[in-house]
Amino acid sequence: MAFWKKEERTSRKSVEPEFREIVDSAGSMILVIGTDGTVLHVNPAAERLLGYYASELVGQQTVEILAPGEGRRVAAELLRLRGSSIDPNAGPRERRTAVVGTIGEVAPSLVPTIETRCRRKDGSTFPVMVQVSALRDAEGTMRGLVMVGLDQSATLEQQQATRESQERYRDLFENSSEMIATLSPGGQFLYANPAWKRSFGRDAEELMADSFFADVFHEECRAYVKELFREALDGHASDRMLVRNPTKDGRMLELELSLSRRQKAGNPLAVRCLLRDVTQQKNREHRLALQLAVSQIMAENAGLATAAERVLEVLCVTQEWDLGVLWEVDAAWDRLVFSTAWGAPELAAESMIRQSVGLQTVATSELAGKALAKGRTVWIRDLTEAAADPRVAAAIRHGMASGWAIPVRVGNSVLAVLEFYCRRQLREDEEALASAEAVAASLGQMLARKREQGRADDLTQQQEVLLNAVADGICGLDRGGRVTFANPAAARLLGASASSITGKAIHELLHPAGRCGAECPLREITAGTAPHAGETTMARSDGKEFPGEYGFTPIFERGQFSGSVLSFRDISQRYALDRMKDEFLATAGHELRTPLTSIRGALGLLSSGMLGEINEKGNNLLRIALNNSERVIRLINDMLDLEKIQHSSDAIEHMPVQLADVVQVAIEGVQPVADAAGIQLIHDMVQAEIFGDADRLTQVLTNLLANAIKFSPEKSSVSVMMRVENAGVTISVIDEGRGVPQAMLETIFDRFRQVDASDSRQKGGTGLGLAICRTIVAQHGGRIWAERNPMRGTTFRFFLPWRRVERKMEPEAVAAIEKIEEN
Amino acid sequence: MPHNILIIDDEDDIRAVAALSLETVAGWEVATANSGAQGVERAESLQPEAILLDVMMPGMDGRATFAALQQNPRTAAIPVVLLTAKSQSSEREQLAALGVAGVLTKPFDPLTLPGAIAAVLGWDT
Repeated sequence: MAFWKKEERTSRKSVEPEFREIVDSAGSMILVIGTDGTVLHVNPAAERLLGYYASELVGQQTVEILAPGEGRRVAAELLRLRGSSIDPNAGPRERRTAVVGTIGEVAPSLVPTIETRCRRKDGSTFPVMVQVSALRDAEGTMRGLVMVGLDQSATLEQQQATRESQERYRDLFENSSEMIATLSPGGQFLYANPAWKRSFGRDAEELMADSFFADVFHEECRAYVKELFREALDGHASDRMLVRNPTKDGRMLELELSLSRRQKAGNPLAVRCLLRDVTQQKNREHRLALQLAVSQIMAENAGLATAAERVLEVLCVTQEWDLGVLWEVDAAWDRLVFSTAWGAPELAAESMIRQSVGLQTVATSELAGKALAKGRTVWIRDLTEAAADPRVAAAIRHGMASGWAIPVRVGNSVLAVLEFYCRRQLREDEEALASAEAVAASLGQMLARKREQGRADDLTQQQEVLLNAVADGICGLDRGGRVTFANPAAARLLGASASSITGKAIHELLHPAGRCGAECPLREITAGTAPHAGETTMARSDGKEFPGEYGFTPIFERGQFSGSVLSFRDISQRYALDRMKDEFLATAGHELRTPLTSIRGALGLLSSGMLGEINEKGNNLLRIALNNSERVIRLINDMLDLEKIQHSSDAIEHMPVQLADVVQVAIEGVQPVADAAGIQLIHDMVQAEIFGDADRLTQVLTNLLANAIKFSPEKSSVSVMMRVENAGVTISVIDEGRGVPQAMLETIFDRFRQVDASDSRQKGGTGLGLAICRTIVAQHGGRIWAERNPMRGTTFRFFLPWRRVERKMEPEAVAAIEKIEEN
Repeated sequence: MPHNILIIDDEDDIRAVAALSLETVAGWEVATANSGAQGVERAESLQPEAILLDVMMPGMDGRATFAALQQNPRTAAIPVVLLTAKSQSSEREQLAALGVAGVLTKPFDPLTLPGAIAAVLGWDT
């Protein structure tokens, strides 16, 4: 570096002209800086790059031409050459001194080219490669630094562009879901993107180690791929050819393969290979097609067996399964019954189906049974692992490799199970399962519909049988009371054909013109919307009348009155029977009482001793005979009484009854007995009047009192209490006797039911007293019951409503009764 | 003078027991008839103080017999007590409404029968 004159001050003049020319003509930016930091020289390239005139820089010490922070960084980098570091607090001057020192000491060859950024006058920055070297005079004394800078803007941008472009392509290839490869004309992989690993499980290196690219494919389609490759080499590119490639783990990959040649001067350089996995897409298409086919089958509304068989066929064919069997659930027996099946047209599947026909399975150890029990799909990839199942064993014998069973469910219930077998070993495949389960759902809907239909048919048939079989006439009526339907009995009762009845007003049929007044209840009822039951005289079409009983039931659909049903029957026979029974009872009563009167009278006179003295044994026997004849008389009286109250409509009178009088009369009646037994009778003085039969109510109370006295110990008391309530009156008879066992509180009111079977003999009861009481109270619309007292004894209570509610009830009356019962 | 009474009943045994009861327990004089027709005839000829008349008899029953007794001026004034096997109070009331002196039910206690009749007729016993 001899162009620096020893003595001269730093100025452009001091540079030797010939060197200066070289420096100024250089394309690189060159700055010469003195050891004190003064700019000594700036060449035109530096002027251009930095945007300063040389005159603005030369002689200056403070101009910063490096980008902010770069001065410190570059200095640090240079100082590292000497193994020293810079004080972070050092100013530009100290930094410069240190840098000059370093450059001066280090061999020029060791000073590296530094990448940095320079700052233009306008503040913008640009990349620069800087080489710094020492400027020495002739004596070798260091006079300053020469800084040569090469503008890197253009170079860097180009590099980056190239890098980015490469990155983009790499990114595209590496992340592509399509398999991309470059193949040599010999068929080896030159490049393979990672997508290959996803479909084939082998990365680029493994692929490139393969001798031939077609070897990655399954042998089933390898020859076809080879053929396509050969054609591509010959210039016949293949575009998205479908390749079905079974995988080792039992899946079927559907691939689209495109191959084309890259050539130079007519010679093939490489083969471009694009391979796309369209399995999912194809599956979706298959599933749609399957659904469509299944929907069509369903829509044809063929029989269940036919439709199901075709559904199985479609499913098996599209999925390439070999055998499908439909098992229907027989809920009554909790078992599966063979319904139908489809098998690939070959002997093995046919034979397997023949073995299935008529089979019933309940075993949860079997494939289909397992799916039923678990309520979800059971998949056996390798049948030999489940060979204990006899059906699986049979499937294996028939050459099947995999099997699975899918429950057909509607809501929460499994209606059927689909069982499939395949000769290929298939692993559980979500797509295939989704298809099969969708089909199962459709099949389930169809099964449910058919079953519902079957049930409805059964029901209709049952109803028809019932309607035809009943003896009661049943007519369906429209809202206007006109007959829409009449069963055979209705036609028979009316003496007309069912068709001649239909369309006519039911009232006109039962009560032909002039037979009833304007206020006929039947007319009102059949024109109304309230339920009703009653009796009326009805007429046949020939004019003959018969006593009839009818029930009218309105039908409400979603709250709207939509019509009604009138049932009616001829009760002439019942009338006749009632008459016969009445006569029989009267006669029986008389016929039984007459001989008993003689026996009772004769025994009474004999035992009185008035006819002569009878010895003690004779007297005993007479007493026994007398007691028993009296018992028979009571029994006959009670039986006739009970029959009469129960079945005779006029057995109960309905008159105003003062209950206080009833209590009074009953107590007076039993007072002598109570006195004899040493029992005190207590009663309250409540006044209440109801509608009923005073004699019968007295009978009830007398009976309860007599019982209470009979079963009470001496010196105890029996009380009669009356309580007036909203709905009626409750009368209670409370004793301090031995009590009724809890279990008998209800049954004690049944006929011939007593707490102790010996009671009737010991206490002289007939076993009918409480049954009579219950019947009488019921005839008053009331209720009788017994309760155990907390301490001892029993309370018999009977409730009587203010007014007896008629059996032929009006809705208000029903409501009233319900209210009473609630109370 | 003991009371005298006519018993009309088709049943021989009942007639016998009733007669025995009235004779031995009450000491009355008793005549009997085994049918309504015979009863009317004997009532007319014997002119008893009272008649004990069974209701349910074949042919001429108690009601018809009573009607016949009422129609005959020679027997119309004789009080009649009916004896019935029907114990229902409503039936007794129907019978009482015919105009008889009283209604008693079968079977009867032979020891209390005379008392019951006397009570109905207002006799001292």
